Amino acid sequence: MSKEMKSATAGLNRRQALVAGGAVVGAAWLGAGLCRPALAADRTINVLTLGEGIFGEPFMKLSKDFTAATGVKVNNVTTGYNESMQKQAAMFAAQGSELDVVQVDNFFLKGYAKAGHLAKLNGALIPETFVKDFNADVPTAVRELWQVDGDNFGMATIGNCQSFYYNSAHLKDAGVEPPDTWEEFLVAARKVVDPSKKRYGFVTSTERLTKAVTDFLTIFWAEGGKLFNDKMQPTIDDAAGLYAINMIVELIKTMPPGGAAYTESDEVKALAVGLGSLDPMSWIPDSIKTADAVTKPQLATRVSPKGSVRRAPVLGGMGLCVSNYSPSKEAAAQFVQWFNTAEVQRDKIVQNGGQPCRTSAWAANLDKEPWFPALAENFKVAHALPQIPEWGQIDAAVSTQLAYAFAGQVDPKSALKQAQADVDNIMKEAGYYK
Amino acid sequence: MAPAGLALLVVFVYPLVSSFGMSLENWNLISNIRRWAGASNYIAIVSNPALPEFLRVTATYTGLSVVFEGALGLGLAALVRSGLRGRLPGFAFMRVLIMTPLLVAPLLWAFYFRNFFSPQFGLFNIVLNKLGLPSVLWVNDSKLAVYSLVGADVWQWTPFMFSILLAGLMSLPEDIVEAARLDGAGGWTIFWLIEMPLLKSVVLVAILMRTIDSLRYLDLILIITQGGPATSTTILNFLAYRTAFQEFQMGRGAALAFVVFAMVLVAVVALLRTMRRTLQHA
Repeated sequence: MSKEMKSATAGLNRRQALVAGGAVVGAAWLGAGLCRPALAADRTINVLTLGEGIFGEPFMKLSKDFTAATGVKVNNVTTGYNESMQKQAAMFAAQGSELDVVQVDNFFLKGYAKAGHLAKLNGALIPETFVKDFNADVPTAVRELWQVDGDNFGMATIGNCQSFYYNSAHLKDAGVEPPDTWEEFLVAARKVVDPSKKRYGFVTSTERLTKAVTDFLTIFWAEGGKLFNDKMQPTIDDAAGLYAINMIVELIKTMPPGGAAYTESDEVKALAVGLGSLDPMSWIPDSIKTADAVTKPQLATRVSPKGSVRRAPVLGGMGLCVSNYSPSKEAAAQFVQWFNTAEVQRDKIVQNGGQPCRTSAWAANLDKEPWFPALAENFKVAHALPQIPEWGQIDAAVSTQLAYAFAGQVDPKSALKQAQADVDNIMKEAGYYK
Repeated sequence: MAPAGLALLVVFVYPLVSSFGMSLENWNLISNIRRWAGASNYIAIVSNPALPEFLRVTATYTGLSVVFEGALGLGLAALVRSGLRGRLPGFAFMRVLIMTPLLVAPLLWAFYFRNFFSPQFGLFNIVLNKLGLPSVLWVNDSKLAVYSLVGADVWQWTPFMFSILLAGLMSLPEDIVEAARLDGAGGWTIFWLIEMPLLKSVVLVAILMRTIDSLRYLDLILIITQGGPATSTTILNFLAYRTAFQEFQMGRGAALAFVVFAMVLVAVVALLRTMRRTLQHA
């Protein structure tokens, strides 16, 4: 064979190989990306939730019970919190159909619903009578979180809010009573500090990403503070705001070293091993669950401290929603409904590592965990974060300034002023006012 | 050409153009409202009073990481090379040992170091306390945090520099070195005045690759400090990530990503020019 013929033959073979390879890759991409399995499409749903803890355990453990009760199979898609939020936001933006049920954090609900990403539940997918009964059995603040203009676009499912845990032995040793107000709290935190006994006062997570801001808000709201006025202009730079930020800055002085940049893991461990004494802003009961044998019997809970106006623990909770792009909306709605029935909330959620959202379920399970009575009381009076799409930006802006103040890099008054200015820019840019 | 061109289009050109288009919009991922913004995202970035701080942190993190990784990598490579050439026992194993941090996924190292750096419960402070030394607020002190992250980065990526530089050193012609030795040149003179100039292009490639990586790196910051305390460890790439995926501002995040891209491009062009000059002189 001549050289020219050889190279021509080789070139053709190479081109054919490239074309064939491209065809295979393209077909695989189409198959994986565009097609959902046709097998039992309506009777299998993909459910995105957290994988562990109070927000994940019940779904991991009870999905099979749901399947047994309804015949609908469940693919549990589990991730960490940040990944879950990013995954669902990206899927909704792309109007993807990969997920049928999505566990949404409450402050995203209204944004998603108004953007058309969530299916309306009452009437079409879940009977009105059930939704009415459910709405009557949750605190008003909780009900309003999952509604837009009176219609339910999600159901609360796992209820949560900030809790106050403290070490009773430390307080007794220091000669202080468990505090009922924020002023009493500061006194107690200062009195309890004894570095020679490796004992400190206040513990919380002071890092950014929700924690720093919610630390501030619980005190701010307790003093009657409001985040926005009627025109949605920020109003945090006022007496209540200054009180709140100064209170936290003083409390941080009673924290273990490094407290100004404490993570949630540090917070939990500090209380669990007896290093810290008072945590009024905890989101998870892990410090009690993981406490060592000496510290565990010392830990107690009570309702959040009161300000001059009210008690104002921050309301949390993640609920279940049906994606408006789901090809299996009815089956997905069955999942949401099942987990929010009175029976499942009362008899299964707590028993499988979760926390209920229904008031009747709380009442029936108060004795199940030592922290439940206080948490149930907090849940009734908890305040919700604003459910606006700009909350992520606002949280980042405010928490940055709070972090500067916590670290002593900026005085609290200047930090508050800058935080308000930054939020003002965000709201203007978003078009709330000029 | 057509399949290669198509691949280039799909994998590189389209995402780049699409991202640039996104950077000219105000796009809130939660509300899914997308509005034309023109250059306002870029103007907002440039006029952000915190930008000099972000640039300083980025330069500190990248600069120190690359310098220490390069210096340590070179030192270890020279040591192992002399041991291997001298057929001394243990050096082959040492070469493997030095490479082991690369075997662990970067994300796992980030989780390990997060625990190691914990002020009360981390391994580093436990060891310090056992030695009678006071605890250090490794990542809880805003003045110290970025240097602690540099340390973690150096631990993780020195083996990468080591492997490239060792390959470079091992490939140097031995006859030139032998000639220099016969002329009476000592070890350090040979290394610095004869071998290093020959190794320059390899060193520059290694520095280029680590600089690009370091400018884009996220894992340690995402897992350990989240850019804090305050903004003391917020590099530009992390800011881009946070803006897009935690604040859900896709347009502003895309604009920040392009700023990082521009910085990487400048670094690449500068280093390539230096390499070309070096090779021309050689």
